[in-house]
Amino acid sequence: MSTTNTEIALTFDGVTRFYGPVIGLGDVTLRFGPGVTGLLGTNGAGKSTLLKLASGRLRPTQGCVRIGDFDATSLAAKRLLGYCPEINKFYEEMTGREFVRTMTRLYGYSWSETRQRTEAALDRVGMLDRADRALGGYSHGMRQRIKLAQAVAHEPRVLLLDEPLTGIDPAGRREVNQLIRDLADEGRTVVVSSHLLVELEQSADHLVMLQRGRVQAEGTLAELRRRLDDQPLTIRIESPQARRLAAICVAGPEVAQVDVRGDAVTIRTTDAPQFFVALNELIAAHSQETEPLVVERMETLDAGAEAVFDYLQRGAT
Amino acid sequence: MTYLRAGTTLVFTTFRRLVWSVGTLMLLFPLAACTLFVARRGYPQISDPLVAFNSLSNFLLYIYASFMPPLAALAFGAQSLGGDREDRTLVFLLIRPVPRWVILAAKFAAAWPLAICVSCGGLALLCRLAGPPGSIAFAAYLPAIFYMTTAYTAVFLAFSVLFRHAVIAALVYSLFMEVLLGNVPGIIKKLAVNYYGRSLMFDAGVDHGLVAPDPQWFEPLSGFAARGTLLGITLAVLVGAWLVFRLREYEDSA
Amino acid sequence: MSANGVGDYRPWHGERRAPLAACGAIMRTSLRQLFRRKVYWIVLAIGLGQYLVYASVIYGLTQMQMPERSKNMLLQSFNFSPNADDPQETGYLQFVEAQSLVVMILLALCGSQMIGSDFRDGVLPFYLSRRIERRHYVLGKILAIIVVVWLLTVVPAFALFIEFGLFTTSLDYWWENWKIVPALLGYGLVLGGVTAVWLAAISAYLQRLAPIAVTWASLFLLTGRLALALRDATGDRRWLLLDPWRDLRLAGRLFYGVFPTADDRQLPLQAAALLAVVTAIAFAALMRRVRAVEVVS
Repeated sequence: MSTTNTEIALTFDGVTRFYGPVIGLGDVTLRFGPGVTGLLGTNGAGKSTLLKLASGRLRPTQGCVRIGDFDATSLAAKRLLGYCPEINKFYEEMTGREFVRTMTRLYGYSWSETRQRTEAALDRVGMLDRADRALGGYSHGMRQRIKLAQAVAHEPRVLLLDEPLTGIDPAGRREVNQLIRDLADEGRTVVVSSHLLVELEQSADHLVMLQRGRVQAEGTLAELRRRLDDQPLTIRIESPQARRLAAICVAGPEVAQVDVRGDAVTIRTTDAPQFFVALNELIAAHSQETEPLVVERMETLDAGAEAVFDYLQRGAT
Repeated sequence: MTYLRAGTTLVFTTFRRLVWSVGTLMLLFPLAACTLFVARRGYPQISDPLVAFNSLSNFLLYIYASFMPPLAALAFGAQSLGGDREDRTLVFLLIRPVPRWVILAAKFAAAWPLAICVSCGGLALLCRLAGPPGSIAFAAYLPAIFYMTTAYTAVFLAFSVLFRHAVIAALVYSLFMEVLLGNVPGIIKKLAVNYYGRSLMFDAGVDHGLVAPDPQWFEPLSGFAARGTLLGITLAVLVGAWLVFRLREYEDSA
Repeated sequence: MSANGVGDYRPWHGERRAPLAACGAIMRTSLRQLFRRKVYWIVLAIGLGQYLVYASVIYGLTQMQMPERSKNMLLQSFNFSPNADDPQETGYLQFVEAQSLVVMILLALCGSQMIGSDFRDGVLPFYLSRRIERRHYVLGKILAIIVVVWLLTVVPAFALFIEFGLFTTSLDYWWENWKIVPALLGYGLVLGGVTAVWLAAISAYLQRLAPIAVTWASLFLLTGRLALALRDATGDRRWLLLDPWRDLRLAGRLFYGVFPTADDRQLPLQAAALLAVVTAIAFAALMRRVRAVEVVS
């Protein structure tokens, strides 16, 4: 992470965690500083274990986890921590406001301060006007917001959000992403886990990719994308002359594989920039023919952020 | 002050959840059955006060004391923390800066008055229905029911610390230890909370003419020893539960 | 996309079975749900401890040389007689009845895990959105509970019956005591069927383990004790009908025709009628509760 030591809020030092004979997290060393850090990985990659260790709910088998200067399991660390768990369970009979108020009160605030912080947190997650309904009747998105509210009410220095965007509609996602961004801009350390990179693209400053309990890659999205440049790229081209196009393209040295299906040709290239140049030249060269090459649509199938993730996963397996 | 505020909030929240739970409602069923029994039995109509007292005592000793304190403790003691484990809401408590002993103490403090209220309140109701022998029985047996319920609540709270299915563990304990082993000859019955409770009841009842049981089948402890043991069980079990709870990882809470 | 297009997507080539077949699937799913729990196996092991005791008694009776007096003492101490025509004792039924405590505990767990959780976690719409009706869901769950009851009662009782025959030198024991087979089946049917419907209804309404356990323990233990106390106090044996376990036992023994006590001989038909009425009410309540849509206030 690109932060100085004084800013480090959450530290993993050689942390290993076993579940019996199964390794949940293996020799992880990470430093989390202010800003949003996206924690990525498939199911079972170790994201939840990492967050449980960070929240002090699990103890590492080896190594140590610290929040600020405190051991993550200590009460002092928990005062600095806000945690939004993945589970979708609450005290269902309570209203949203009661729940957030109760959870805030557990930090030992006076009633007036608890009330004030509760209202501020509900306002922040956009639930102020809907907080007096019983939690049992809330939609999934509203429940996620209440979970967020109980995590931010005491204004923690470190915020751990386990899959906070699950079940929220696109408009809501934008709002929550903005909220995450705002919290980070206030100087907090926000760690957000997800198994979808697109969810984090907008808000995350840094990404940590986990695979099988190990850190597979870390850095900014741009840094991780650069690792794609040397990798094969798949391009899908729709054309009425798909077979002809395929026959011409296959001769190119940068083309590794060609697949024709109906009006679409899928090309796997080992040198994407070179291929695009060659394709342009090819189309221009055939434009004067009686039946010129027509490209109706072209898309790269794996150039998005997900591709980085997929590529790294492939690398890990 | 911080812990006090957190603790009182937790007591209040747990108390409220337990009071309005279906478990509380269902406790009315055994209580109603006992009430109907006492009403039908007609203790005030029994002319011989000694016979009436012995008859009522037998009901309170062998039926009421065997069922109501454990059932009340199961509904409140096992559920106060077990409910959080069952509902997977324990995570919300474990991530707060609240010491585990405060959580445990708060859960006990919420469950205990409710369990006492049901079992001792039930005793009061039944004794009132039973008329004159009931007045004597209430004064004599109230401490026993009180200490028994307290011990059961602590034991079942400890079960919820140890076991994921605390209610099943409590049920197994109640039925096997209390109903089966508590009624067999020999010293094995001393493993049951019920034994000490009954000893306390016998100790109090004998002064009022309760026929002492056959010592070969049941040799009660003195009232002092029984009371001391029940209090000892309560304290030992709570301390044991705290020792486990403070170190245990509740991975299943999420 | 046209309707045809949707229909063509991943076409179904198999043959759909009748909705009734779904009952089997629901039963298997429910049982798997229960078998995954460690606590189930612990309670089952406690229950089968009694089976081992009875199995040892049978082994002792058939394989060990002992005087007739000792043999009788052994039989009496376990309340056991292996013969169908014994007017006083019906050993295998006694075994089934002796399992009542464990069955009760296990059923409390079953109710919460198999049925209560479907309501609590909103699983019911997943079942009822398939090509089945409420009755198929209910039947599947009831079958699952019957299997659980049988695994602790009827199945080990049959195992004991088979064991006794195997330890003798001919097939005569089985031929002479054939009445035990239909008796056990009938008893099992009453025991399993009634407890299943009652438990399903209670669990559908109460859902959580603690209230189910409180209700179940009150129903099957407390009422039994109260019924006995009332019978002793008033001399009216009809009070015994308040005890559901006794009613089940009496109704089940109708298949066998042997009633060990005078009280038992007087009440089997009333017990069966009472069980039928309560079971019908419980079934109606259960059907009313099983709905695809949970209305949230």
